[in-house]
Amino acid sequence: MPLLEITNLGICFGGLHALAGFNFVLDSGELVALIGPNGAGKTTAFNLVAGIYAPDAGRIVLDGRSLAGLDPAAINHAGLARTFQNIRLFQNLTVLDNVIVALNNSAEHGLLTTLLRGPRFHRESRKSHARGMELLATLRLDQYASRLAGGLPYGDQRRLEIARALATSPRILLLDEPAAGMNPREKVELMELIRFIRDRFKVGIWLIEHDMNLVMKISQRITVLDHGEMLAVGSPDEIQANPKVIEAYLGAPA
Amino acid sequence: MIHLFTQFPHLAEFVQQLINGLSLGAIYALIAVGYTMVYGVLRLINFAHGDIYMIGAMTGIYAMTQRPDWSGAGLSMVILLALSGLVLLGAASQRWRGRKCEYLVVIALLLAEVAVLGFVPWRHGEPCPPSWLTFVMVLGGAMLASGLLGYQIEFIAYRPLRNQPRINALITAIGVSMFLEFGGQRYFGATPQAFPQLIPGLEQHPDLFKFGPLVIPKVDTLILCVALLMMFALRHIVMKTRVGMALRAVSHRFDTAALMGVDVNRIVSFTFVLGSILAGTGGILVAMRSPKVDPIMGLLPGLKAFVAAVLGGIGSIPGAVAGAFLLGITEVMVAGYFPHGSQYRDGVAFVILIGVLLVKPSGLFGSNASEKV
Amino acid sequence: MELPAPIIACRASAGVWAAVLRSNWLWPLLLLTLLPLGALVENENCVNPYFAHIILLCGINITLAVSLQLINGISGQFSLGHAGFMAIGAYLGGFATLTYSVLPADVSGDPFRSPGGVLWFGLALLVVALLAAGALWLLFILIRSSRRIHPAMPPIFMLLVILWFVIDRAIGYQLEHPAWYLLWTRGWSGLPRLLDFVIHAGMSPAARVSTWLPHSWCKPLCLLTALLIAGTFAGLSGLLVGLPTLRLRGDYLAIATLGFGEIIRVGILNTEPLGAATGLSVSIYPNAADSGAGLSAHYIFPWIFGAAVAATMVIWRLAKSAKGRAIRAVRDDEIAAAAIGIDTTHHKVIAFVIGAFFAGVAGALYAHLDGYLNTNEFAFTRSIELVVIVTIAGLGNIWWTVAVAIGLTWLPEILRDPTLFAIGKNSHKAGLFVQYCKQLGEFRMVIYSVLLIAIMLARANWPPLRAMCQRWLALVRNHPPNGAC
Repeated sequence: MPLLEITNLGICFGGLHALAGFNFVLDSGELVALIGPNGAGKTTAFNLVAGIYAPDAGRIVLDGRSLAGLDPAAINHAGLARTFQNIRLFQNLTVLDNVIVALNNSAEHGLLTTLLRGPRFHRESRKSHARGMELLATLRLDQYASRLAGGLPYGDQRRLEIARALATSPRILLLDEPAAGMNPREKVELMELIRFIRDRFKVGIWLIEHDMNLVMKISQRITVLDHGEMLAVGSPDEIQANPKVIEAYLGAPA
Repeated sequence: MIHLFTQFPHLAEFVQQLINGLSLGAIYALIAVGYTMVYGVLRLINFAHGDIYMIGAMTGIYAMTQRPDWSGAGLSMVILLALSGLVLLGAASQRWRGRKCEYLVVIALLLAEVAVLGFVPWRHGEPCPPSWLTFVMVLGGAMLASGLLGYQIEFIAYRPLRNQPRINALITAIGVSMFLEFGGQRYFGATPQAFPQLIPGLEQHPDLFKFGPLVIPKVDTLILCVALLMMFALRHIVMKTRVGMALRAVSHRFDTAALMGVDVNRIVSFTFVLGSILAGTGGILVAMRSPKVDPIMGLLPGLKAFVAAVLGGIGSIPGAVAGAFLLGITEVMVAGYFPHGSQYRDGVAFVILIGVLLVKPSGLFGSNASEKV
Repeated sequence: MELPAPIIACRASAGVWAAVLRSNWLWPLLLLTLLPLGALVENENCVNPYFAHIILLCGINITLAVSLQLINGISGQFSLGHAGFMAIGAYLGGFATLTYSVLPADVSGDPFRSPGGVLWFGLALLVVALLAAGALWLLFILIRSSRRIHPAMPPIFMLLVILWFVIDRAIGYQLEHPAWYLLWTRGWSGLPRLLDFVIHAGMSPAARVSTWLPHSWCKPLCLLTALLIAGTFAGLSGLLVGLPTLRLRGDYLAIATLGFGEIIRVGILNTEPLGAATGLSVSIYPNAADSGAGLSAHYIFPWIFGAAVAATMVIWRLAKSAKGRAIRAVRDDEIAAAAIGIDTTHHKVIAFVIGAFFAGVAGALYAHLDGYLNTNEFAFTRSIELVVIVTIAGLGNIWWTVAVAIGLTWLPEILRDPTLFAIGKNSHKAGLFVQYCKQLGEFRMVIYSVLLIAIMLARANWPPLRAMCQRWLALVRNHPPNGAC
């Protein structure tokens, strides 16, 4: 029984089928990529799964629970976290705060505990602080802990976003173009980071990426989208040899 | 027709209210268009716009009834006027050398204004005899005054805050509005002043047409005609001229228009001047209808015109006009037909506001700009 | 050497208790230091009653400004309708004290005798308000479920309902024996009658309970109950404003809150029992000797500053906690906050509710301070004054808000008559200075607005100063999480 199962997902924006007939499975510990030319509908698929849009057709099932009609916060509580194509950090919070605010959001914070700063409040805040620092250390961001998130270098901002997503203890992580705007050295580091995250945190990772090098090296399986429809699914070697994929990216031979 | 209205007095009353509403709506439209244009270009709600409308009316009063006592005009005035002339010369020379000199022009304007407003003793004189020529000249004077004021406000208060978060510009707009209102109260006096007759023979023959119980007043027709004329002129400017095209470009995408070679500062100033001219006209027109003019007359109509702009879709000029007429008619109908309606008259605008914001925030003609995730 | 586990646990918990102590020392100390100030204010020989009044106004403005800071600064929802919440608190608190704190059997009509009466009024009003809300909610659900018939049904249905309401109101007044289709007006006009009925039903037992209380407790209990009622209903109206405006951003939210504030004001203006246009006189001492006055400065000082300290404490603690972090995260990026599991609705609404609560409390205190309420006090201008305080202090800075609130309460008064503060000098120059100051005083609002514009322009165009301030603030902010307060 796969962890995430999507059948026949589709959405229509004013007559245009941004996505149609999309099928997908993901298991815990797998690293799968979603590729396709620009405008193929990849981020739309992510937004559908994460609850930002409501699908017009199809089912999304996470660990036996249907995610239909849930809002993004509820989907996150169910175990799915995502990062964004344009980095969306909390600019006015510190790096550590960005991570702490993501911890423990499925539990309700009592208003009274907040107001009377009793021992319970301090215990909890120390615990959060420690867990936050631990997570930052794991992703090698701890030296920035008290800096404002907006002041970080670009590559570190992406890592912070991933750290924040991981802080919600997800079982599935959706990464939307994590390597965008990075130079080759940073991309290599990112590759290792993604593998490390999969092994250390035991999450299933679903990746949207344009850098073919990166994708071919780390993914176990690749799905190709074009104009909202699935072109091919398979291992990296199979996809590289697939004529339809080549045509979608490079055009048909003259 | 007369038989129709005599037989159905309720119908006559309804049409009467409709005409009142249309004329009220025309005035709201003149103000609302200014709001919507400035919002479209700068994404700023110009709270001071209602006060520009007030200044238009005040200019009319001054033009009609106040005379400068040149004998009392002092040395200070002469000095200030001379200074402002010098500054203008300096600005012209800078321009000739190809350098920026707008701030010099504004300083010259300010000096001249301080001279004329502060150091010339204005005395209540003989009001001009009403005539069509007077009307046109007073209207022209009000347009000039409000246009200049709009330009100065934009330059001094809003342009330095162009790159700031919008809340700062909003607060500054509120500051400008307060300045105009309280300054107006100090300078013009807080008591309402009577606006003299502009149109010849209005008191003796106030009605244009009379269909039995239905009366169509001249004033309302005039207001409607002038307002519609200005709307058409505006439409021509916005749709059919190059400046208008640049204006539309800037209101779509500020940065891209700048990259495409549009002088954004000039276009923003132009927008402000255009909106202010319309507001000033509205001030004169409303003063002809209800002749009491006081320095805080701009507050409530300004808010209501703003609601009208939101109703029509803020950022859209036809929307503002449509919203204004709708609001005017609704307000008059509520005041006329509801029990205790005249007390709730001012609340109508806000109820409509809440309704629009809850049901369709982008208004009747506005578009929903959603965020890309 | 490894310490045994219980000792480690002891050490850790000792650390926690130290932290508890560290974070709880400031507020009682603040309250204590305000007592001498109170004594100073009480002593009429020491402080001019005019100054005492301004000091009390400072306290009220602190409460208002800090509560607005929560809504505007920390939660990032630009609200221009804060005066509406204050008005609700003022009118309800004042009305409760004026009418219901009097024992029914008492001939002299002295207020502050019947805390039970005030409490009962609050409960009755709450019940009736909930009933009305429930009825509206049912209607709303009905309209929404009509979507199943056809997607265009809800707006049509809503239009029909509005039309029905309009016709009902228009002709209902003229008919002698209203028919069944006038259920609407009957229903809504029945609510005030239901309220009257419930209040009268419970007033005598409530009054009897009040007579059992020790006499000296009555006045403070009355005031406390009135304040709580004012705050609760203001908080409920905060809920009413916060929930529908969740989808709105930035300018639209500002306009919507402006609209709500004005609607509340016009609504109060047209409600007969609340004094309508002539204003409600919360004359606490109906006898001629103290007519027109509210509670004395002596009495109300601890309440006002207690409320100010409580508001600052609550909002500070909220801001520096996990909930505050979540609220700030929602402010920074709502979509990202939702993506990490924060309930954006809850956090946005709670800011409105708590902010409105304290605004209501401040309003009730204002009613009891002045003893006279007029709807012009709660117009758009007051909301603007509060927004100005919050913006000048900087969005999110609570202590600066307190400082600026005090400063901007004193500034118009200083400008009104600068001679009050001039040290008396008997010379010709002083005479000119006095004259000049008096003229200046007449221009005070003009100067205030020019100052406002100048401050906003200066802030925008003084990058070095701003950068310095930001660096300093960042240093101050990055204390470890278990620091004081």
